Amino acid sequence: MLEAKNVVKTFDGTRALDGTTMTVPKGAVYGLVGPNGAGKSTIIRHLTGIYRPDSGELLLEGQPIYENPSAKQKMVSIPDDWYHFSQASIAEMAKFYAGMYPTFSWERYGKMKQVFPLNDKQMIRRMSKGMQKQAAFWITMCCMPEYLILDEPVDGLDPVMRRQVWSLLLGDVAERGTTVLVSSHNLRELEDVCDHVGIMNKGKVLLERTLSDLQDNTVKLQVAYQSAEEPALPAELNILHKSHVGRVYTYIMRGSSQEIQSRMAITQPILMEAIPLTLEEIFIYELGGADYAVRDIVL
Amino acid sequence: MRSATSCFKTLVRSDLRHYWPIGFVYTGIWIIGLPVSIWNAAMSYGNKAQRLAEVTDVTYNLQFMGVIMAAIFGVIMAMAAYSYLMTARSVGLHHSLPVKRSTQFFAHFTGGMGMLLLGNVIAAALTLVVEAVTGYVSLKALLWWLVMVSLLDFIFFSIAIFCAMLTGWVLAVPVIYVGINFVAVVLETLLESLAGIFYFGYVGDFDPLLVVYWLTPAMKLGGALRTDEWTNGPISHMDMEAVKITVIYAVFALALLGISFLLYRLRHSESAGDPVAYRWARPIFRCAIALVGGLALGMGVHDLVMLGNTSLPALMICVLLMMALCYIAAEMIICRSFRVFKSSWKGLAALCAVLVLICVGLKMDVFGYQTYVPEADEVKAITVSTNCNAGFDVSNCTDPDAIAGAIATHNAILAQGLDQPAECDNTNSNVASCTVHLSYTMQNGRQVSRHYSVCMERGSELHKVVNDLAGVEAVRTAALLGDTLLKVEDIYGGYVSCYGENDYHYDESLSEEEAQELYAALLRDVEQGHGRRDMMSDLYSTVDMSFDTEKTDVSICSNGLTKDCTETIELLLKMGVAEKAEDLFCHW
Repeated sequence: MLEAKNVVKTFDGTRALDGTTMTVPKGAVYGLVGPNGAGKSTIIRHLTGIYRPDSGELLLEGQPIYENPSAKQKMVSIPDDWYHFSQASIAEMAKFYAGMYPTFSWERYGKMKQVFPLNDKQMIRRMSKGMQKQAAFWITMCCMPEYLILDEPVDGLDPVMRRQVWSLLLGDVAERGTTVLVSSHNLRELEDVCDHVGIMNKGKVLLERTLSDLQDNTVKLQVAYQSAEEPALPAELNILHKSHVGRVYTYIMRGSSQEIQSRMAITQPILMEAIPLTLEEIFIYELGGADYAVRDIVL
Repeated sequence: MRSATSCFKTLVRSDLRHYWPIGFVYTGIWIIGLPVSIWNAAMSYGNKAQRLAEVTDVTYNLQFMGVIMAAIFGVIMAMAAYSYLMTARSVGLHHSLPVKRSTQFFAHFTGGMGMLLLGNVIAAALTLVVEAVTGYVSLKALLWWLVMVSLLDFIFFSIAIFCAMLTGWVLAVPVIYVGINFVAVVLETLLESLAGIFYFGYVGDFDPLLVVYWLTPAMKLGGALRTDEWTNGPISHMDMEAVKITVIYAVFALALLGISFLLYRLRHSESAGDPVAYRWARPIFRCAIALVGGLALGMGVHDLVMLGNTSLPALMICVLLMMALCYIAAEMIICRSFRVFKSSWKGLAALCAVLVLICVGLKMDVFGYQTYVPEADEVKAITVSTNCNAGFDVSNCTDPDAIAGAIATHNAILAQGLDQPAECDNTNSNVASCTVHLSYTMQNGRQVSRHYSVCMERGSELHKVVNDLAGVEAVRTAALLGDTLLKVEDIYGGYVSCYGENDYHYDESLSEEEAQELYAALLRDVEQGHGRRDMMSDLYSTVDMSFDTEKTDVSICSNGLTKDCTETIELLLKMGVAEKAEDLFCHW
């Protein structure tokens, strides 16, 4: 289990993390989402032991992460801008990682040559951004980590390679129980791979649940009334968002689908249908409540 | 878990793999510098013993080159080994590795130091081969070279690592390195220049204080390892004083390495890219830049604007303006923004206020520097040099009358006031501009020196006391016969020249008898109380006399003759140097 407890970090007076608390359960694929500047990369750098928090705790299986090689040996990260030595090839970087991680598998390294169409003797800096990302995955996956921390992992990869990489990652999760923490803005992609989601904003994790819980707890309800005028709705409904076209109203409401539909029945709609919410919609409507929404600005 | 040793080795190997060109160039230069020089020395002219001595001499001499090499390659190696701290990407990789900060620090130190040491060992091994081939093996000198150069590498590499710990900009490392190495001597020079402007009589000889030398490792070590300072002849053995100095610096470097390690542990990874890596160091950086830059540029601009004249208000304005400029520039560098005035004006105002207070304090002489005159019983010896219309020099004189005269002169100068005009009224023949240099050697060994430029008025107290000082026997003796008295019988020859008015000149060598006779006449004049000079006199002697002895090749008595030296003048006339006494003197 990977935990952050009340982590606070300030950069030159700016509070990047404001009491961040999150838990990544063992074996989970945890998607960390949030708007730009929410603190996702900052918390990831804390979780990988790069940054030292001003206060709070960062734990891996109950052990502090910062300055703890035994904890850090269990995890490998691929940051958004993966670093490689300027003259190094993939083989040289692999040798470097092999010197650091006892679980590094040269056997897997050999097998992965089939997966990634790269020349491992070529200097990495001569490769394209996408190829460099592939190289990062190649080396990282060979470290056989228990915890894999990824910041914008498939950014720059082509669709085929994206699928390939996700397939490898999920294969590791299934076979070895690898725990994956992944930060991305590609919510559609995360929705396909994550089983846990945490939404961050302004240095705090606003909510974190399993994806199914999250989807069950928020309902998109399309209702058609007999008249154009909206009838009075039950007061106890927690409506996150409302819009209408003619007599058809769309509500985003917090709560279980069945309960909401039974309550809405008193408005006597002609038609009422619950549509499952995408992660992107959940993200948008949750953050809308946290004063982060698309604004209608005419330029 | 992978052992720390394995990770350590991986990091060291990584450094060796990536930064070997630095070690290669370093080794290459030493190979050209040492074995090739030894080969040339072994092939030099002379017999076997001379050639061996030459080989030994060259090996010891090359330790000085070690200072330059270590100073340059120390910083380059530190920039390379710790460059990963300077960018967010590389620091991200290194600090996410399952390695403690301590392992990281010492692995990179080992990698960098290892490359330098390896270069030294290779150069020494090749040199040994060359020496063995030529048959001139100077093993002791070679081992000393290896030890000393390795210590120098350690010293400068440690200093450079300390600099690397202070910043998150790789290019700031050499700037800070040069700054740290030379800040003491630069600051001392600037403060001496400033004190010279503020203090009437201040003597700034710009010879760095001992502590300043020690705070400037390149200067101190360079001086210690310059073999021409050890002895005049070929070097045959190691100078233990140089070893002592180097070892002291090595201990200091070890301490600095410890501090660097502590700094590394405190360092935040996010400081990569910051010019100053620690918040607490930022005010120090700002103030240091403002102070050094403000003083240097301020005084430079003042000289430029005032065309060499000194005006305290103008100087203050220039220094304050330049200091503000440097302070804001430093703040811009730290914040990496041009909009810094709002956040920095308070600090700047405080610094300016402090500088103004210091300047006012200096001007008001709160330390009593200007008005300090030693008591006679505190003084062991004096050195006086005056130059008015007439002048005299006396050095290391312990005569009580001369000491009392010097103190009286000092008091008379101060009595004339602290703000004396730089230039005197040239049209007034009763006023002459004078320089008076007074240097007291105190009983406790301390030196107190003052240098004054004053206007002397005929009949003034100053005129009187300087003339009295000039009349003291010890001063007269020094003025006429110089600092070293000769024995008449030791003189075996001499020379007299005289350049008078109307193109008159006389140049003649003296026989032993003539020279001895002339010197005896000078001695008699001193004994009879002659040789008194009036500092305002417009007459000066044009006679130069020199005397040859076995011990001192030439002892010169120039322009010291006064009109009352009747014994000498009479003899000079007799020798035909001039027809009449007046010809021996000229008017200003």
